[in-house]
Amino acid sequence: MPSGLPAGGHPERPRKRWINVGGPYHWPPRMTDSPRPFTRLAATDGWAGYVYASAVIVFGFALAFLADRYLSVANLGLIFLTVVLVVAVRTRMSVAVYTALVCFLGYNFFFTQPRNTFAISNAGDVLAVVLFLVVALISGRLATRLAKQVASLRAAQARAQTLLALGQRLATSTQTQAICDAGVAALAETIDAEVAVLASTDAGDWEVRAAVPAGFVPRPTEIAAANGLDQKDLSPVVAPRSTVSRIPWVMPLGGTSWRAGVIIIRPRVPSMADAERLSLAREMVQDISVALERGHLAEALEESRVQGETDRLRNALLSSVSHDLRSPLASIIGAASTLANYESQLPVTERHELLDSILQEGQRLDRYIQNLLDMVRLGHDKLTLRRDWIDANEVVLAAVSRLRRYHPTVEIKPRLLPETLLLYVQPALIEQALFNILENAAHVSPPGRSVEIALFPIDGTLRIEVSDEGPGIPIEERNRIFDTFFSVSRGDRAPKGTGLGLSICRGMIGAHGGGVEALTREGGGTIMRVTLPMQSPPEVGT
Amino acid sequence: MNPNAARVLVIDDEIPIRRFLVIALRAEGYYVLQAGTAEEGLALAATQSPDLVILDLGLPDREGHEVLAELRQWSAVPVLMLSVRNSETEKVRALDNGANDYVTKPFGVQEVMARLRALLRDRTLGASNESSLRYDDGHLVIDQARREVSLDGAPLTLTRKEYSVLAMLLRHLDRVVTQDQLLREIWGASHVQDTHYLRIVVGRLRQKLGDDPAAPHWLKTEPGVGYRFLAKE
Repeated sequence: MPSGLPAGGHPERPRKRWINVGGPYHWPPRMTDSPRPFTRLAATDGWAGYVYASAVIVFGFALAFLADRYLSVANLGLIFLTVVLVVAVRTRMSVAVYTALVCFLGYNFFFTQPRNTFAISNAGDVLAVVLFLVVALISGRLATRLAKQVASLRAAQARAQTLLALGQRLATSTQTQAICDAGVAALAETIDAEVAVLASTDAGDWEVRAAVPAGFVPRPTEIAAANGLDQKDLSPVVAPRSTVSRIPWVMPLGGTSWRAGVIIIRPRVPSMADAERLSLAREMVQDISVALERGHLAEALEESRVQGETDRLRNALLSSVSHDLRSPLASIIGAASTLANYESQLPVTERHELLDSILQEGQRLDRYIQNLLDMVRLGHDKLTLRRDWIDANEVVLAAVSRLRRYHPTVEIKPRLLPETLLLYVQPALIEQALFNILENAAHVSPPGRSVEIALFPIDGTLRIEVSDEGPGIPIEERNRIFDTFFSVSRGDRAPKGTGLGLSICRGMIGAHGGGVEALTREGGGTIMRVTLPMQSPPEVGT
Repeated sequence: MNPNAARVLVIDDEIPIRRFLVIALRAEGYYVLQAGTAEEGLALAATQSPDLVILDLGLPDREGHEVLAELRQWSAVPVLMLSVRNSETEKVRALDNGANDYVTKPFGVQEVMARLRALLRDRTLGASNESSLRYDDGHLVIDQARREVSLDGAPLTLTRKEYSVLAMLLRHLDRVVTQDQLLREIWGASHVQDTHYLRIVVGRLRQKLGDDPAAPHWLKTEPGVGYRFLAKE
């Protein structure tokens, strides 16, 4: 570094400074745009210190010649003492001693009696000269120590900031790729190096997972180093000390039990500060490793959660198919085999009963299958609604009459609106949703009790409430009844049904921007409340 | 209706299933009682003294297993279970708890009738054990009084265990016997886990009888449950 330049400035990045105690080498772990306060200190490095000291000395002598007319010689000595002190505090020991010597000689030559000679007649003047030297040594030493302390504090702070910034970047993500990208970018900027993360592929090769610059190609020596690292399976994350001298640095990436890959760091400008850089790089790699391990655990956790959910659903689906599809099938096969075996012996009424049974159970099976298909469709497609204007009373009545056909024994009381209220919906879906709720209510309704369905237009929405006098739904199950297959998971004692009905119902109503909730009916039982938004119907032209 | 007709109680909450069972049972000449809930069924079983109970394992008010356990506290009536469950452990549990046989839904009505006949056989035979001591279907002859077995006239040499298994299955002619029951009775309670004993003995028995396990004449495996000695029609 040329002596004339204010040290601390990187030739390519003049505004960004980094103070380094180890030597006049400057790498920017954390670019700080603040030029203060170390420019003054830094300005006294090298020859600049002597230039600075000389300037102060010249100024001191000028002042002393001016003051010579008014002050005694002893007092002039104080001026030189101040000069030595100023230089000593702001530079280092050697410059301070140089200043002390120059001041001593100058004071001696120009001001002490006899003047313009180096001889000293007054013993007090000898004391002054010695004082110059002592002050120079003590304050120079203090100043140097202070400068070092401040510099190392600065370095520690910058390092902490670097790691903190990295930590914050890493903390925002649990995705392996994002962590690698962030880590590589931070390392490349901080260390001023080419950095790449290599991950081992299934084939046993290495692939570049993230790199700065983008076109990073690992060299054979680096690959060899990576292979050497990876063989030590549970080796610590920190690379051995000896790698300081070996550039590039290759470090393992990952936790104690899990290896994410290796990281290769090629510092752009090899320098004496590499020990410092390496130790910072090591800490950063450690942080990246921790972040990767956290991400790895999060991914594993998520995977197992999804797996558990899938398994639960699969089991529920299996038991649903086994229980609810087989029940009607059992009736059909039983009735048909009875007909086949005893047809000639059976009276006509019984034959009709069996045929009727086959028909109805066939229809029940069809409904279950339809529900199953609807659910799959609701779950996987964007259901596009084919909306149409329809009278709310009409939809309700359609669902009610369908239920009456399948469950003739259940009494259903529809409480319709006195006037026409138009809904803009897909009628078939709303009818199916209401049918599912009604069928559910019919199942739980005790014999002799009725199921009621009523409509209430409230604040731009239409409420349709189905109430039964069944056992009611425990509060903790209020939401779960809408889960797919919920009723099945409760086992055989639950009311018959696929457990799909309410889940599909919620899906269908939800597709219309509405909702379904289960409420407690006063005096026992359940109210299922469907809420549908209402649109204003178009003007009717006459 | 025949006053001596066997009385069959059907306990099932599914109306269509009850409907065809009742029609078919009546056509077979049984006197039929029916119940839609466990409580109703237990009440009928207690007051009407049925000769056989057909019990659905999935009832709305109580577990079928509970109903079975309660019934067994005061009645030895044969119980035929209906189950939609695929789980073999369910069946084994019910059989070990005192059920006599099972059919899995969906089933044909003939299957139920065959099980029913097997379960009611003891009743129609009355107290006489004479005929059950000797089995003869024209090919296989098992004389339990003399502990002799012959196949197509040629005497077979069976080990004691082989004979015991064969005899126990024969005593439950056409009815399922669980592995657990076989192991417990023939090998002892400490060997109920040693199912391989049973496999080996049944394998040898089949070999000696020339019975094909895929299309058995006599020894039918009920997978995961046990074995059944098939009666000749």
